[in-house]
Amino acid sequence: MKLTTPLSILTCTCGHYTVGFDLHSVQEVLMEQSITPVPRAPGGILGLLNLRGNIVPAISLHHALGVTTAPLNELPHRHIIISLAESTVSLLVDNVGEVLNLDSSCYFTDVAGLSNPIKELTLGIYTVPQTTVLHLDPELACRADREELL
Amino acid sequence: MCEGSIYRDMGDRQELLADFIAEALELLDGYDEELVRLEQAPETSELIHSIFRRVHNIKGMCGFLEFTKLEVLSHAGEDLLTDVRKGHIKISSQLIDLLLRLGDSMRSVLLEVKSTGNEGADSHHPILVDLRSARPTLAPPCGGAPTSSLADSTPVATEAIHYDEGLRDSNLPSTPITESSLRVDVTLLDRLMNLAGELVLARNQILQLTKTHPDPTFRAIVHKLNAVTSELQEGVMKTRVHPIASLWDKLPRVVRDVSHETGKRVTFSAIGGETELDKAILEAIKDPLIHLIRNAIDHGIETPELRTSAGKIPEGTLSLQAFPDGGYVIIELKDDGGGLNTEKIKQRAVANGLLSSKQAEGMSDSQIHRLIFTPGFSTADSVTTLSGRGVGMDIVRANIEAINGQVQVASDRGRGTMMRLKIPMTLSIIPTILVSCGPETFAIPEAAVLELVKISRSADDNQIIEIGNSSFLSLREQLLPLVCLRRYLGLAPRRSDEDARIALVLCVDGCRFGIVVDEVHDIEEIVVKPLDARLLSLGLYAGATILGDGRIVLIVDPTGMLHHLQLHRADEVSTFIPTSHTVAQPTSVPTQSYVIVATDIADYTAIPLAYVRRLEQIPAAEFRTIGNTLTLQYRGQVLPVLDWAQQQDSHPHLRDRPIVVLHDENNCDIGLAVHRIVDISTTAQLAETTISSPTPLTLGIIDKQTTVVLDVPSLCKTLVSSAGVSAKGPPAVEGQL
Repeated sequence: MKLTTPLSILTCTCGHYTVGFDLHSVQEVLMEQSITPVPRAPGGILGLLNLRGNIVPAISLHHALGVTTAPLNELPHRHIIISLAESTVSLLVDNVGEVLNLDSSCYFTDVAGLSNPIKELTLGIYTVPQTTVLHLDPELACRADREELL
Repeated sequence: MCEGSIYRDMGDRQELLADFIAEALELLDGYDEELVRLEQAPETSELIHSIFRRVHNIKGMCGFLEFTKLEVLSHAGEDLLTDVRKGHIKISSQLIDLLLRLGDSMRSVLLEVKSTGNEGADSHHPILVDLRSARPTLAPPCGGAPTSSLADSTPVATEAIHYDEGLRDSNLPSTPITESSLRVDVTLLDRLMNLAGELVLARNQILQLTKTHPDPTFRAIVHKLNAVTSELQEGVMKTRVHPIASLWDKLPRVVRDVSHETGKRVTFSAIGGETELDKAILEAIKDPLIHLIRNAIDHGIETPELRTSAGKIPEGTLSLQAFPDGGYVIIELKDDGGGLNTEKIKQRAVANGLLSSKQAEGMSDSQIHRLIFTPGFSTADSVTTLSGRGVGMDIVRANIEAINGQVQVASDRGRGTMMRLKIPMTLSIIPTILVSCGPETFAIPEAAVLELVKISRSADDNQIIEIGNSSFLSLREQLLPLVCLRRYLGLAPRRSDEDARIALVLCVDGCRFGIVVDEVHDIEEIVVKPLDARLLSLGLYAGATILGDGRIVLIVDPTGMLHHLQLHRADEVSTFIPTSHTVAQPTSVPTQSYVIVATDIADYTAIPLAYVRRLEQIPAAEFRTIGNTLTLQYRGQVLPVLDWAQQQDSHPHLRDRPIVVLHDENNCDIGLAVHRIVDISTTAQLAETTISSPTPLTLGIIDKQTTVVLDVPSLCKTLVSSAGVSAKGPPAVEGQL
């Protein structure tokens, strides 16, 4: 796939992965917020967040990527607020990196050999010095009912 | 660029179309109402002019938008109205009928345009023919009376329908409604409401900080901010509410149509049209209200002849009144008709198998009256096109309850009936009870909560009974299924019994059950916010809300608990009979709950739960054998105890035993000594087999076990008569002793 327009992505870390989201889909980034747990919620949904009067689900990216993580209150985390087609969700990551402008020569799609769940969620891989950024599909990453793929 | 402008044009046209349809429908709403008023005041020329203007306006608008069918219709109507205006046609019932039909046709075209974008296939030929033939066929020769198909029609019975004077004045359309109001997208209003809510939260936080702030100027500013915020929030909330008059304006037409169809004469009045309700609620109560009005005229108000012979004036009165009451709006619909026929309802209910004749005897009139809301119930002697098909009142109730409202009926035989609707003002704000389990807080809709019961800490009070995996709350001689909110939501169990515990008794879909929580905090009106679809699909929560301090609280869905308990809509009748009369009828309930006990007859013996009053563990010392019967002093009376072990004489009977206290329809109590209580089980209707060895036994399969199903009424009968005691009268027992 040839990229016709340069694409900006916001990178974040989640476990040992560095991932990126299309900047257009990111509404804002928040520091740690208090999360109201929802009993019996699916594993990927950590709870609910009060986003200026709107109730948005807080979803664990660790869970989606299959990364084991310490309990929420023991590690620093950031909320990436993502606007999806039908809803707004907060995706929890370890930390937020920088905004990268994609150079199409370093961006690879259809990388063979990836395994699920990474394969399922990744749109492409961007190689920058010292690191590799997984460009994720925000819709899929925010789906909390992905247990069957793991 | 080119593409963009096309899109914009299409968007403009869509918008124009939507505006046109909304405006035309509004014109038509007033049109009906004015026609009905014209019918009883035919001389009012302003009304004729106003009706003419409405049709004329619609004609003008659809010419512009190229709606040919609508244009032809409105043109024909305009021609006819021109003649009416000039006095060539007298105003008669038939003319009004015709013009109302014209309104209906135009409305149907508009609705077709609204849903499909074109005018539909209907040519509306009949109405066009009628409109044309109604016009004078000949020019009046030298001042003679004009002739038309309507010319010789009878004049309107002007006394047929009267209106409340206040309503009439307030509704004279001096200026079209469109000039003083704007159309605003509902989603924009919702956003504004959200933002106002946020502002309130921020205001609350600032108020907290201000208490300790030293600067008085600052404090004054904050108080001003406080006042403005409250007013803003109130104002934004008001944008979603409409005066109830916008619904009531449609009702005179309904009254007119139904009274004409049934040959009854009805005076209709409406008071309190300025009472405001959420637009969505108005929409939801429209059909139920129309149904109630139809019913009141069709079944309630008698024919003029009947009324005269009963000493009433020939015109029936139907009055509608609305007024706010707390967070609710009360709507009362009163008629001065024949009232509900209690005997007939009773007979019908018995004939339809809704209750036994014995139950019917024990019920008060108001309990009987409530039966009209039972599904499948109708007392109309004949099925008319209007009502009496057995659907209706139960649907009315279901619709009203769907918006958390209530409907009640009060009736006085011979003097009339009143229907009382209690409607919440908005859908999005509901009163809830805040409860907590440990650190978590949850909201439970108050509408479902009947009462709160404090659970005492001492275990020997037998307030909570555990059977198998189920628990029950023993409340006023009834066993209610109990849900522990902690267990239900999978929260950590309580560490100790130190916390106070409270049970909320809920009634959902006619089923009563209890919920145990740690603490009950407060009743709070909350704004229901939507929940993520994945969380909603759990079936546990109805939504979420944000409290004043910014905390999110989940709203527990009581209907979900019902499914969890596998309860089903209980027999309608038993839900509103006081406890002492409640005897579920196994045959009329789709599923049945049984207490399974081990007895000498069988390891699996089932007792229908409805007959079980209490489960007790009785020490051996409390049993007394009187004659051949084992007895027990129980709550101030002597309880005969059935003990099969004793009858077979093979076991010692004087030992601690679990006793199931049973009662039958006549409130005759007996005890049944069992070996142990096994479980509680809910099953579908049993396929029963009866064997006769040595006494007749009914067998069924419950949880894959062959189970003996006890016939409690006959047990009570045999035991009480053989023991010679009347379970109801302790003095008689003492006489025996």
